[in-house]
Amino acid sequence: MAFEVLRTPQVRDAVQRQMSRTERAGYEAARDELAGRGCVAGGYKLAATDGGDYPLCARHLANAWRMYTAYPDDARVVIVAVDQHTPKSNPASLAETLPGLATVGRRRSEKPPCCEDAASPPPMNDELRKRLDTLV
Amino acid sequence: MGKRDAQSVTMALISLDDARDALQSGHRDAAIQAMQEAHRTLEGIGHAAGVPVAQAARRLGVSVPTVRSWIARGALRAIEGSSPVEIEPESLRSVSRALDELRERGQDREWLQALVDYLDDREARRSPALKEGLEQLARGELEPA
Repeated sequence: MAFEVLRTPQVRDAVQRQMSRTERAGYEAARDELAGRGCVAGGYKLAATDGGDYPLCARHLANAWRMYTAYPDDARVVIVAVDQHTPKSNPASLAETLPGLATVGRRRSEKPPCCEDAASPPPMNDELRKRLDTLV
Repeated sequence: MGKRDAQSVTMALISLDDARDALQSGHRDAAIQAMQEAHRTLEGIGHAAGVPVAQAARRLGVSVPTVRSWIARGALRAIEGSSPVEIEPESLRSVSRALDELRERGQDREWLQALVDYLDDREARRSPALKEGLEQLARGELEPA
């Protein structure tokens, strides 16, 4: 089964303007994998503040790039954003100290997978739809 | 330590004894008041002093190399120019509180991993790029990838 893969302008701009050739190739490979395998290629589910699952998935790309995906239905994948994940320094508050800890001792295999089955993507549940509604 | 500082420490210890007695007799408010008094007394001593790395490690329940790594990564703030390195007390307190909270939440998971995952995903959720992408998704601004 092939999946329709869509992206936001943020993704287009970041890929065209900020990624190196190698990084772009990594993005394109991930995109193609999403088209072929759907959410199985989505990486892992982000954790929500309450410790549950956030309705987006994150996948690591080349260097510090990450790709965030959402799944409106079982036939479409939306690449919502790509971003570089870099630790900050010189924290002034606890909130700012948090990214400084973020690269310590990662065992990515312990993150919950984006999905087990391509036919059952993580739902854009009420929480995400509500968030999207508040944005417009 | 000078005589005045030593006297302050003695006064603080008396206040802490008062706090313990108040707690044992169930007077929580009085205990808090006594602890605050001890804190105020001690604050006047060597206010510029930081916490040595080994003591910080004991307080946080992590190893000395871990504390040094967190300083290098900016998670803990060292007092500028301190040698040997000392950590700013407020920085230590804030990280300590976060660790306590996350250890409680950790339950069946190894706490440091839980911390790392939590912080990592929290940063991702706050990413301006992700926010921008979500706004565009909400407006239906999508195109073939």
